[in-house]
Amino acid sequence: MTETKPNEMTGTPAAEDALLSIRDLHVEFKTYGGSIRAVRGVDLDVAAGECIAVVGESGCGKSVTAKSILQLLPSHNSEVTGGQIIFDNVDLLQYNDREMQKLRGNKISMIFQDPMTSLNPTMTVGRQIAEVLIKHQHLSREEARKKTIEYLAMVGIANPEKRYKEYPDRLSGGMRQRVMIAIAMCCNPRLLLADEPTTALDVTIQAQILDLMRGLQQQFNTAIILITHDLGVVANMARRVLVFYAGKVVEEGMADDIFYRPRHPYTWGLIKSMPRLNSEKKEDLVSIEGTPPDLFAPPKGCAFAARCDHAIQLCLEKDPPMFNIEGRHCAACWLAMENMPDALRPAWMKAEKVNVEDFD
Amino acid sequence: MPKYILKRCIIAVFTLLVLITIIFFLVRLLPGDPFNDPKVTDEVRARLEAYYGMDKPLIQQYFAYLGNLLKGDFGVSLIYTGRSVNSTIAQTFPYSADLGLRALGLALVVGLILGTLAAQKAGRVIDYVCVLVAIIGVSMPDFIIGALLKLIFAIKLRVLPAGLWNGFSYTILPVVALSFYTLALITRLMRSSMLEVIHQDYILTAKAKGLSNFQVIWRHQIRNSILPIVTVMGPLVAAVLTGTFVIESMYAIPGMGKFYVESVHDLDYTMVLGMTAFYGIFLVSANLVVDILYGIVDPRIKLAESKQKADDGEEG
Amino acid sequence: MTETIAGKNTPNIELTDELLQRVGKNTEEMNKVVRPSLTYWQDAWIKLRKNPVATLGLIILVIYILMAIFAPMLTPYSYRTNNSRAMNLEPMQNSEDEIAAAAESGEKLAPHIFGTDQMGRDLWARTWMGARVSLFIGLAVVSINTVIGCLVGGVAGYFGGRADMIIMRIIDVLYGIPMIILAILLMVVMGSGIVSLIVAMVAIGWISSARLVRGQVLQLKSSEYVLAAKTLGASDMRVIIRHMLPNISGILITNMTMAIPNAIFNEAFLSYIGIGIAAPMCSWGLLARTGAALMEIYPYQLIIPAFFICTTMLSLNMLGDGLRDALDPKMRGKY
Repeated sequence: MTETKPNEMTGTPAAEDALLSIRDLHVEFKTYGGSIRAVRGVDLDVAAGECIAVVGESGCGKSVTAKSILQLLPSHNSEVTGGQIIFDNVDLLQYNDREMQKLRGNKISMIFQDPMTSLNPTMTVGRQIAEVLIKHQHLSREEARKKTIEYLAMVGIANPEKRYKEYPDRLSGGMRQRVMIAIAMCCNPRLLLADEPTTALDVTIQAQILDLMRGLQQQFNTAIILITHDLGVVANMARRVLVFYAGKVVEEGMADDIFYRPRHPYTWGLIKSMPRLNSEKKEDLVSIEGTPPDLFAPPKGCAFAARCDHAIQLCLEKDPPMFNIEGRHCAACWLAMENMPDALRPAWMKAEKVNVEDFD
Repeated sequence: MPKYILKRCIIAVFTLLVLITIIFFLVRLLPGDPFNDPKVTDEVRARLEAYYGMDKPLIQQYFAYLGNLLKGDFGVSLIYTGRSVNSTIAQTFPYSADLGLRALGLALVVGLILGTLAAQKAGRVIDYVCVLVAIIGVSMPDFIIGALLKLIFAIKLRVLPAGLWNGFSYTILPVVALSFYTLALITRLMRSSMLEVIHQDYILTAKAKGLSNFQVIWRHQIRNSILPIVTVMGPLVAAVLTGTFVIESMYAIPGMGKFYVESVHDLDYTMVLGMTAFYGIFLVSANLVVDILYGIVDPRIKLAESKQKADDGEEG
Repeated sequence: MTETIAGKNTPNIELTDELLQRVGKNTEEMNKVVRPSLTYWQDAWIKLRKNPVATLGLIILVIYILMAIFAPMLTPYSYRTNNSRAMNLEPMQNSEDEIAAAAESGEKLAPHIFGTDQMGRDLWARTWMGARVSLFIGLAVVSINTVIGCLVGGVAGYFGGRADMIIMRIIDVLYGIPMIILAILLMVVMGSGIVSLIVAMVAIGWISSARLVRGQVLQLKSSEYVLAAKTLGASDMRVIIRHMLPNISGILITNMTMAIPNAIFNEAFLSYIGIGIAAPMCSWGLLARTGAALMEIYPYQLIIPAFFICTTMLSLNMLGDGLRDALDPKMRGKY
């Protein structure tokens, strides 16, 4: 890394109560033209039993961060080039394959976006769950079968004995995601990585799946990292939110902070682009103009500057560090710096509680 | 499932019919009317006329020929008195089947192992070695590999017999020569098919479950990547079979392939046509068996059917 | 960052007026694509050139093609002239008779680079003549197959309906006929020769390209962009030329490259069992056949044609693999 680390002054040691602490994570993908810096210094903490949300556009590095926790990135073209991933006071990046296998699906498990392709089409759903139990809890086939059926019932699948013997093709998308959740939860993991678990589902099913996850989280006191681009999902589930942009965390805070007191123009853009039912003005949805920078060659300054209405010269020249706003609320925007002239800040940034309709 | 099998069977029957029709009309088209060649003995000519029914109208001849084939009678030799196609097949086919099955077995076992190994170690030295073996294999016609093996091991080094079929040591060179191309093809197919499976989402799921590499490969990758191999088994059987023509001639194995090539040389037309009809029926049947097997092995075909059932309201 | 207290992490930056200058959005910058943008064919060509194996295959093929065209013209020996006084000569040799004759006439004697065969014919001339025949047959068979395949498969796939159903039933039935068996039959009836060989191999060979083209066309037909083009009122002709052809051509070229070694193999096989090309004409398969008969005494007569058959097929396979990787849109952007 030749780049100066702008947030080194905020690089705190892992929080005492954190189940998982990621510090200054860097991940690169190698292509034949050079490397793509998909994750560029991410810090993230999750406490036991806490549900945090990671939001951002596609390609902003949120999935890559999650996959790097379990070392599931393809080894031939990707590499974690720096940082630490501390789980239960151990740096997972030092783990070898065998040690990781004991962890995966056991203490940390993961759910993927597309339930249609995430299950093996040539294996019955029951066996796909049972093999996790056999692997980690060393159950016999028969015990695993019984427990699998219990879990199938628990995730809300009717007639679990019959479903046990069926192939994934026979199940609907929602059902399959329930099976995926059963696979993920059957060893009572301490941390669940949910990578866009509801994106591929119908809206009506989404709520059911979220309810199920919330219920299981409370039942087993599992921490969840919920990755999504849907702020609606966030509002329902997470206590704390991290906003990702171009491979970095640009704003972090409690859900209320993010929704009502955003301090980063990108977060504000995300909030404005949320469809609202109670809007009195029949206006068009506001989108954030432009596309994220190509991480093949990230810009020198703030990665969002080119798309930002409020950018100043400084933004183009230096990447902003994380500025603490209040409590756990931080934002990586120069305008959030304390001694920044107030005149440069847009009205929403100064407001105590913003309401989208009041602006623009 | 029954619907699928029925469809395959109907197609196979039509294929055979077309093939037999072609053979029949080719007999009529033979250059220079070999039936009236002075070298053909009267006895043979009489048997030929009985078999093909030369004195009857063409359409009756056609059905007579079809009837003969249905009865399993493939005709008689044009040149050798008293030799029928059937007796020749009965004498020679066991050798060819022995040789062919050994070669196919060797190709399948080694090919699947090499293909899997290459895909697992994609981009590494082992992969390059397997790819190299495979690409050389598909670039070496069996008559060349057979001749070279014979030249090196039988003629120069004198460690293995150069011909005949009298025990295990006699089988080594011809089986290796015959299987080489098929082996290479299976290696290539298995490698590419497995590389595709490796990038599927469900493999990521399997890894996220904490399964060991071996469990991921064995339970989740191999089964799914073998399926495409099953579909090409028909053409592979055909490749091995045509390979026997050359290999048997080269290693003096008294099989059907050697005899077929000799008949071609001797211009024993009726023998060639009769044996071709037999080969045709054999290969079409082999294809049919493979198709049906594929239907049984791949749950997605079963599923398509059962889904239909479910849609029809019989279930769920 | 969770431990830090508000305001404590203010970096030491002098906020000059210049730095505080509002710049706002930069429409040009925000849509900038840094990665070089390449057309499909440029991208494919770069990938192919970066693939040393495929490049090697291409170079060998070009050399062989040039040799097949020019070598027979540049040697004093004819591929068909028997010479009973120069039989079975090893490579780079001349017989004593030839040397004596040359000394008498005072002409410079050309060596038999690959030796001579049992009829005293120069193998260098025969090898490159054989290259002409083998390569020509390979190319001709595959080209004809592809053209027929495109027409039949294209019609079936694009227009669909009844035409498709009938064509597909016919193809299903014909596909089961073992190609090599039918080719042998046809060769027995038609007699040996280049034309018979081509006819025999095209008879069934077109079917796989027809199936391929139909499958591709069907897939493209239901793709969003073709649908969009049709919705915008593009004619069938325009859809076929602007949207279908460019998208199929990559796969088609790859398929052709992979099919040529098959055709060369089949020609060699038929010639090898004695019903392909007949002497004095020659092909690599025929040379291998005559060589194999004498391999115990004159192994070079087998090894030379074997080498050319194998390296040609190897080069085509290497090039084909490279083309597939370079042209397959699914592989685009990988590596």
